[in-house]
Amino acid sequence: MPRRKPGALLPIEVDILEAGLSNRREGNDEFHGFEFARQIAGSSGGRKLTAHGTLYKALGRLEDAGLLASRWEEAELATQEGRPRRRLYTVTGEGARRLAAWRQRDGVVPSRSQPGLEGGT
Amino acid sequence: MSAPDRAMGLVLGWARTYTRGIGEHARTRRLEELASDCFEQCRWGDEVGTSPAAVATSMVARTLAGMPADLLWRQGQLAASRDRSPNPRGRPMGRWIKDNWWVALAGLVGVMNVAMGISLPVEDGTTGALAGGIVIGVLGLTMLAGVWLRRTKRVRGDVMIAVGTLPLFPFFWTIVLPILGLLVLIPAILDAADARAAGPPGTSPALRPGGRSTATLLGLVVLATVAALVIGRADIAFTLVSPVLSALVAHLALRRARIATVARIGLTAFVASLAYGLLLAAVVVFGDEGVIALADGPGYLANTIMSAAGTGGVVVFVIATLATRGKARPA
Repeated sequence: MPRRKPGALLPIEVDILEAGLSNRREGNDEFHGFEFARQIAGSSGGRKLTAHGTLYKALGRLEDAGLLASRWEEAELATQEGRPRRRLYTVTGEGARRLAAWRQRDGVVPSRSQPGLEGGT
Repeated sequence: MSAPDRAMGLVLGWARTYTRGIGEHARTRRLEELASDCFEQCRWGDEVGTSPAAVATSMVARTLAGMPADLLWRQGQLAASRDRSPNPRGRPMGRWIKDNWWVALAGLVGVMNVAMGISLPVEDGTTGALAGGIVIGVLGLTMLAGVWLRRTKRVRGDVMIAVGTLPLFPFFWTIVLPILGLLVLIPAILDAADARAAGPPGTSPALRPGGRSTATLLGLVVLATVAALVIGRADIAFTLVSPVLSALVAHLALRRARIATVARIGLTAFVASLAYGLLLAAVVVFGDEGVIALADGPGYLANTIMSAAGTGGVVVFVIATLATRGKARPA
């Protein structure tokens, strides 16, 4: 498997960072794994939900690279709502800069224009 | 239990499988994230009116599509926990298959040997068939034990796998069995040499201490097998392959023995002679008429050479050992 160029981003990583920044523009700074999957699918012409393995591996990779930060939400909140607690992610400043640099260097047009979350959770 | 519940059980069951043995923190995090993901997907399905069957199908499809990434992630986690060079993208699956395909083949061959060992006396109730069946069965079990053992003791396991291929080589007329034997024997030997060599990383096994002898013997085994297949006579095939194969196995087993070089050569000759005798006995016990003529055919020369090697090997080993002890004694 060829080694990735420094600063390069994979398509799934671009999708994740764009989804995160899109959410931020709508006032949601933090979001969980399934929200990523749903937003990426909803903004790419009916593409199916991203596979679990692909999604969470990419999230972990971005976090290791400092492009995302994450935390567990408060357990009490999850208990009150009767659901498992969520791991909440946010795009870091470095993540936003890296995405911008990636777009600029490669002349990449953002794959979505502020897609948003219909009926967001 | 609804379809999404069953799908969630499958998702988490798979996750528990591939997270086994990795760090507790990473395992818990992955399991909790997946539990949350599945729950959110079910709830989203309810909100948008997706049928439970469609939600369950989507969850299963997401799991299946992500399995390669899951396994790569697991490799990365294991590598990190062993304090190897960090590789967040994990070890490529292709590399893993390339390195380990022969181990899976060795497992199959081991099972086949055991099955042959059982079926031989069942089909033919003679004492010879019983003894032959026991030999093949034991070597099959040796091979399977080697497959298991190499996880912790790689060299020993590889040597056991190599020894377990021996019953395949007398069956030259089948063509498939000796080729199968080579397909397991060669990578087992190379892997053992690679694991055992103390040379610097990246050094070719053939250039490491003792590696030239291994490469030479391995080349001779391959050449002899090819020649035997071309000639197509069982007795000549046995005569060509068995001595070099026995020498190779003995050399691998003793290559790193902490004894004087001359003593090791003698011991290797003796062990090779024993291995050859074991092969010969197995062939004779099988009662194959094509090979049993070895005693007065072209095998006579091989028998004589290997017997002489065994006897001479013992003499050399004893003399070299005594000489070494004499030097070690204080004056």
